[in-house]
Amino acid sequence: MKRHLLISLFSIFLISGIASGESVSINDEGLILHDDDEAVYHFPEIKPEVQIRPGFWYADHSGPKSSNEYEYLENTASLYGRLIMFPFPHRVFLNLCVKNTNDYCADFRYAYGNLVLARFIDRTFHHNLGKYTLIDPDSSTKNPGIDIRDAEDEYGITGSTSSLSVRFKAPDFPLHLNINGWRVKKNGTAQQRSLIGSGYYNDIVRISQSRDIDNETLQYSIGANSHLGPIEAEISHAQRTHSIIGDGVLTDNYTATAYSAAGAYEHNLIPELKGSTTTFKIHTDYTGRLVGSATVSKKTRENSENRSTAEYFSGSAGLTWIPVERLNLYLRYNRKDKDADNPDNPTKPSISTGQDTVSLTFKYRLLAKTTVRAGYSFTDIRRDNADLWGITDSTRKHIATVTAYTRVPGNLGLRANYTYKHIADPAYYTDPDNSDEGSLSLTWTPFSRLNAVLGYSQREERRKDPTFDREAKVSQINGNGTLLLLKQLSMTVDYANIMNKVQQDISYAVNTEIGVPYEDKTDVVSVGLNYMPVKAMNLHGGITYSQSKGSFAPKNSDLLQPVSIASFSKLETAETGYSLSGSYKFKGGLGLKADYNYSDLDDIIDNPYDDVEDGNSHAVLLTASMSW
Amino acid sequence: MGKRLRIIILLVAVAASVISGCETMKSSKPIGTVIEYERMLVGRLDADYIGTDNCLSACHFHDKIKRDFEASTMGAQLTPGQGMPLVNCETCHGPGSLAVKNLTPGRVHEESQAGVQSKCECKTLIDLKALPSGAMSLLCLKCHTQNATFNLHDWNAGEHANNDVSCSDCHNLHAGPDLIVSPLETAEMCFKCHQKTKGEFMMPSRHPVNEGKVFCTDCHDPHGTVNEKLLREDSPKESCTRCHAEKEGPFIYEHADLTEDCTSCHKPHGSSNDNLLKARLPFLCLQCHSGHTTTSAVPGEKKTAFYTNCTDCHSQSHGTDLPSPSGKGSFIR
Repeated sequence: MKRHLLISLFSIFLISGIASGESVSINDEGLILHDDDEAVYHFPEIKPEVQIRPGFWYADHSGPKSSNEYEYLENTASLYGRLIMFPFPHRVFLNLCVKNTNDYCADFRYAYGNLVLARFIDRTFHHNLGKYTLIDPDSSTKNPGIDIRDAEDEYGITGSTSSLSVRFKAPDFPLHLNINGWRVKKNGTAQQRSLIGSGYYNDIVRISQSRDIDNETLQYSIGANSHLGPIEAEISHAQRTHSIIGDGVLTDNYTATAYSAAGAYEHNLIPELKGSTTTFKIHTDYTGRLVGSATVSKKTRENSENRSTAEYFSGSAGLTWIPVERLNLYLRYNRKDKDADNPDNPTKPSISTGQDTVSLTFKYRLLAKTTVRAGYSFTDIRRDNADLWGITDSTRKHIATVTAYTRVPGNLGLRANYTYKHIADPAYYTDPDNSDEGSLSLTWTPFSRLNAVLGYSQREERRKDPTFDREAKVSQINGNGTLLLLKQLSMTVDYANIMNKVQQDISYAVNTEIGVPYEDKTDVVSVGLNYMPVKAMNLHGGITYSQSKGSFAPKNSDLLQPVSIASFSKLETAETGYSLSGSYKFKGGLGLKADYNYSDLDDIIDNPYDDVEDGNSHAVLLTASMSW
Repeated sequence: MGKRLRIIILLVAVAASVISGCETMKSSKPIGTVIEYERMLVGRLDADYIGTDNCLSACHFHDKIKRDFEASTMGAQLTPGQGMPLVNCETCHGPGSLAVKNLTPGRVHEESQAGVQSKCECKTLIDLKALPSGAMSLLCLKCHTQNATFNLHDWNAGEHANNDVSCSDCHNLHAGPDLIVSPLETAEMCFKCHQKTKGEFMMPSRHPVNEGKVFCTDCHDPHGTVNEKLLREDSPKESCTRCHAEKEGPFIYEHADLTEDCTSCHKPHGSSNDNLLKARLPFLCLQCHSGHTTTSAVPGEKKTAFYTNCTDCHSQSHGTDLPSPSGKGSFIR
């Protein structure tokens, strides 16, 4: 009995010893040591670093605040800070940037060895919103009419996004527990335009009023993953809510219709929502010739105000195979199902869909610096209740892509891409029957002081339907160059031109106009200079100018008299921005920094029907820093 | 053998299985090995591993890198049972004995007196910059598969790996103690390759990525996903409603299934038109919908009401729970 027990115990130690593997360590002379030698690692002593940068944000504007869309244009104090501490095994990082009371961010990270990792990121910014001006050319008639209740109001929303992730790891084993949180909060006021009245031919009154926006989206999830021999697996569950605290709905008096009596009715309701997602993932080792991964998830979404629901199922799998080192094959399959239910709709049910996508891509390295890729994907979309909506009940997409990139002598990099798309039975008028898309980009570094990038892309779409024709073209030119003029002086230039053209047959109830052209485009150029006359000083100046145009051009005289309907949406604007900044670091950890920004928006054609108004703004940020 | 012995042997077998199973479950098991990449990552066969302290004993040029590395997550990883750093210089750069051969503190001091910076024979280390992207990524994946780094779940079949992007194209391990790219810096980093997207964010109507208020990683997962354009969520709608939840629904009156893909009407990076629209109103809507009657009998005042902005009246175009005055779902209320 005793002998058997000893043999058993010895077996356990022998097996666990074999399983744990032989281990070695290295001493200061680079000699290999065995386990019984003492080799204790001591974490280094690293002093914490702290920087605090208080300051003041001064802002002024002329005209509407929306001329500077993303800046909070009120005077406030500012505070920036940075902390790094390594009291091992703890590690703490903190970055704080409070530009003003409505524009700030924080990034906090904590780690305990490799057992606990936590990160919290928060950013808040202010969005100055535009306001459409409702215009009634003949105020003597009641219908159509307008009711402007917010003539003196300016709109803006402060939005805040926070994310928290905490990961716990089991000691000496790759088992993790993850907790994640995501929160979006919006607070402010926005313009609400709507139609009061029956909306019938002789009862059209458009109104504009202010609306309090105060809502919160919250999502939190918990999950676990682990390495399980040849595979790794993860399971997670998330819950999500969207809550309304401000104006969830507005109420106004409506005139009688055939459907409803005159009286007060709710309108522009923002519903509260809730949902959940459960996800399971599994994959093989990342490092083999054959690597596979699969994901399955089920989502539910519910409208808390009524019985509308949507359930989603998605499943995907990916396989990578490297038969020889120069050749890679990628095979992917994706399935998405949506089951929508809206029992409170008396007119027609929502569309439920099922979609399958399969794609295969080959990548081959022809030469050391030349690679070609070719891929094909097929998507099949099926729709329930589509006939009630007047769209096709199934659509199939074929997409073929070829890409090549190479680096040639002279430090020139070339990348070319071509994609052909064919869609059978497209559902919507804006979906093409087929399209061609090509792009070319060059990267050039002829000498160390110059780096230039130039790119061009174009997509052409065609649609031929028994009832209408459509052609569309989107093109983009972009360029970027950085030149080191002197050792301490560099210049950067950016240029972009994006153009969108459409020609389509357009129907206006009883009339149809053939080949109505539409075009919009923007040109942007930006130049920046950076100068460091001494190591402690940095100066930067920049200017950005952009010009945008857009309109469509109906030809039918009914559409042009007494005023062209295209004139209401015609766009021609210019934006100019100047920036100057300077900083200086004194000895002893002191520093000073000043930033100045000027922004000007010009509605060149003064279109009164859009939300663009002339305006400009100045902003100065002054800070003093202390580091130790 | 007696019953008691059989039970003991069974318990021993179970215990051994559990113990060896735990150890077995930890280890990496690739399906096939890319021998060509493995050969590139071995380093010089005539060189020995000497440890970080020996790499840097004579020369202090890389002292800051050493300090940053030790302060980072990788520096905190210790080999179980040994207590020595799991990751050090030679883990990635290969055995370093040839690189520091003849590089003594005495020689470094003499050369510095003469104003010369001593250099190691770094060409005897692995030439990381010359590695193909697959081999470069393999260097990282060897450990990050073993420690179940799950955000790499779709890396291998994802668009970045497919386009020869490797870990080091985004992660600079020697930039500081923080190995994770800060979200505030993602735009500048992403735009180095995605120049076309950089141009889109210069448009007058845009998400404030250049202003540092929205990050590329809010919508995209650069480590790989099975979704188009490396979207973080399963569909464009789910990506957008992470922040714009008020548009998510489900609603009683839907806009067909058009709203499952927000890019049907919007350009998420930037546009010439307000609200990131692909085309100006009313043309955007007229592409799919017949406009209101416009015969000569219709006065100009009504044409103004019909054709300035469709959303003046059809203000709930993303979907609504309330019927229009006609009792249908015209997105008016």
